[in-house]
Amino acid sequence: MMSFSLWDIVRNLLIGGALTLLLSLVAFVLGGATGLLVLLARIGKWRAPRALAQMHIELFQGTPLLLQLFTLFFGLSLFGLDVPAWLAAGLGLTLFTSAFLAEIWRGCVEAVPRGQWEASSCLAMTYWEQMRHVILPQAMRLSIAPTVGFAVQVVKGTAVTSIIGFAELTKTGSMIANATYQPFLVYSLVALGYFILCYPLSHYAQSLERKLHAAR
Amino acid sequence: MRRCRGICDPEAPLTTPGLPLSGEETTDRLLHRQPPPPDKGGLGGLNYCTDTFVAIHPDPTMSYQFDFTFVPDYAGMLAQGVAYTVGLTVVGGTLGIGIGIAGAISRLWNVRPFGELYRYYVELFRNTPFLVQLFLIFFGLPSLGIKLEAWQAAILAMVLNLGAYSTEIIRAGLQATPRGQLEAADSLAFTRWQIFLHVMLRPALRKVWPALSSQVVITMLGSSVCSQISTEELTFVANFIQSRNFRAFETYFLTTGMYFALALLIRQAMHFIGRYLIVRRPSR
Amino acid sequence: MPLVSTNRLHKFFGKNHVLRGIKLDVEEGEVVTIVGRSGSGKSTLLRTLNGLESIDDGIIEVDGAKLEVDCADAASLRALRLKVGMVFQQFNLFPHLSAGQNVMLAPQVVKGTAKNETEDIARRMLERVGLAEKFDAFPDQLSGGQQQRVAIARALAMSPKVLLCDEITSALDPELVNEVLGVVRQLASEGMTLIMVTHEMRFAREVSDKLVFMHEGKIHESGDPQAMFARPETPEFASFIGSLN
Ligand SMILES: Nc1ncnc2c1ncn2[C@@H]1O[C@H](COP(=O)(O)OP(=O)(O)OP(=O)(O)O)[C@@H](O)[C@H]1O
Ligand SMILES: [Mg+2]
Repeated sequence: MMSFSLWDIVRNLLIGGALTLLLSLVAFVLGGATGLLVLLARIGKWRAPRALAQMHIELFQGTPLLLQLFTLFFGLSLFGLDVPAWLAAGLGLTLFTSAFLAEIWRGCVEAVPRGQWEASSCLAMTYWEQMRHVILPQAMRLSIAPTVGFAVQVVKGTAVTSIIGFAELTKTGSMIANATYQPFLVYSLVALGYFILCYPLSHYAQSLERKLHAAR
Repeated sequence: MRRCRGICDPEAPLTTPGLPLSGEETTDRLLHRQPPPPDKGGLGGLNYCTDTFVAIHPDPTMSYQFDFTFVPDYAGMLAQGVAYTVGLTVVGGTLGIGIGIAGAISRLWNVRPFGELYRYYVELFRNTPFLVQLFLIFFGLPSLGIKLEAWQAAILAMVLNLGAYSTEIIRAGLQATPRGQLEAADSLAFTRWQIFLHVMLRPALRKVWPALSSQVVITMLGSSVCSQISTEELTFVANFIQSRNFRAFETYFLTTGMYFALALLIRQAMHFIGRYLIVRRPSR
Repeated sequence: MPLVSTNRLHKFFGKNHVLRGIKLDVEEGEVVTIVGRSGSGKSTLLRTLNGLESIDDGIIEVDGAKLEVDCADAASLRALRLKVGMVFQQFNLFPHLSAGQNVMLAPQVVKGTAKNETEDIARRMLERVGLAEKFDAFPDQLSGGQQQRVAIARALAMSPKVLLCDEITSALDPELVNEVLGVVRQLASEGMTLIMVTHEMRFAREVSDKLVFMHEGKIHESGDPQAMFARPETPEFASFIGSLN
């Protein structure tokens, strides 16, 4: 049995924390990109993509992230793919994030006043011209605060990937807790780590929200 | 370290973070677990090798055949899992919203010292993952002399988590009470309590009920990670079944579907509760 | 051949029969004012003229661009909208764009005009409504009257054949009404074809060539404004005038 100093614990947790941060960033960026595609399908004029996008959103919002990861993991291995934990984690969180962001952004698109649609229609713009030049720029402004707010959920969501074996902060914490028999200390440090990542984001989202409300 | 064995057989523990991870063992044991011999005779003619994780890769030259024939055998168990999850959600939801109401009041009127305490509580619980909260309660608290059963830890974590979110949600609703309504109520000589109940709380709950409902659904979905401390809810049952039938994909796929249905059901139930308990409008 | 003509125009909102067979002809350069009680279908009529509301029966033709019930596809809608400009009660400027950009956007995007050319157009149009110096101002930095004038400039930049104005001064503070009416008056004198809905009766009498009184989804009475006000032919119009003051 090795003995762990507090520094050993913290050092290992920092490595796990770095992976948590990395996974969050990857999921957020890829999820954002995918979410944009889902959004465009969801608000587009073609029926089939719209239905698909809605299904995607409802499925990923209506089921537990853990089971999404399990299903994905085992589903992919049915195709003979050997899925490493980090890949399943990244892919799963990306899909999860894309569904939520698409829905958040759709709300923002719908919050753009009807008059903006009418005014741009009268100028003979096509649907996509209206979207591109009139609606999306305004929706984007509305979406910043909730998007930053959702980033907090992504960071917290990464904890679930510990269960499929991705050695991020929570997984590292579990391993150390079991090795040191100091679960209270270790899990408190783990919680602190998440708090340090999440609190600034929450705070920033709230201040953005306030600013947006003041501007109206 | 493993404190609760649950219905799982002892040789195939779930991913309790109970065992020190040695060396390279980064992929979770759940996925590496050796499957017990299938208890249904070789239906579907699949040839897995049965001892490693790679085992569940079918022969790429053969097309995989989905096999849901295990369902009837485990139907009772699945039903128990569903009941457990629903139970957790009902208790967690009720107490969580209760805490939320108390918290919103304390925060709004700055009831000492609760207002300040609630502020820290809300920030702490909203900015850390539920799973970590659960571990801290289940694995951490015993070092402080507080030992909880898995189900107790699960409920406590759910209540505290939902309580933090609903505090903020309900507070927003209470803050939106129009001044004029308070003044009108004052002039009608209501007692303070009556004013609060009828002029503030009920309209506030009505306003934020959809947000609150979503949060309850999120909490229910999040409860699937309680399987990690061997709470015998739906995901735990799924883990158990797939460890027996060696049909991981089908099992999880089915369970995911069950959660989806549960989410719809709970949303519907919340809608119903909101309609008849809070709004009390004559039904149209 | 009138510039704008509609025939047998019908519109339902659910069971509500809002337009009941409108026949309206507007000659080039004519200024037509539509009046009537609230809910008589004035806005709906204007909005059908550029396809903001679909029609349930009838035909609309503006300078050769035709819109019929059964062939209201995207192409014919676009053709119609290129001929018809519209100004709204609520301005509906694009808040994320400056006044100049508001005016430039459509020519650039819809007509594919080069940027420096659209900038020329925008400056000329803003000058026309007396806001040359506000090119870089954003809508929230402008007064209501100024915003409405930018909205007019934005519509004019597409060089429409006819301009629709739906109560364009109703959302304005009283002291700002005249600067907008001034612009409209000037447009009328320059020969712009205008179809407007307004509650400014004095203004309507002064600039209109033709007054249209709508009642329960029909054109109940129409003609020369001076004559109509002097000798209303129908009791409904008489009572409408009576209710004005
Ligand atoms: N989008 C809509 N959906 C349903 N009904 C509508 C809609 N728009 C208008 N209506 C109905 O159509 C009728 C005519 O409305 P319209 O706005 O054309 O009247 P208006 O003459 O412009 O009145 P106002 O002077 O108040 O502007 C009204 O009964 C109105 O309720
Ligand atoms: Mg109107």
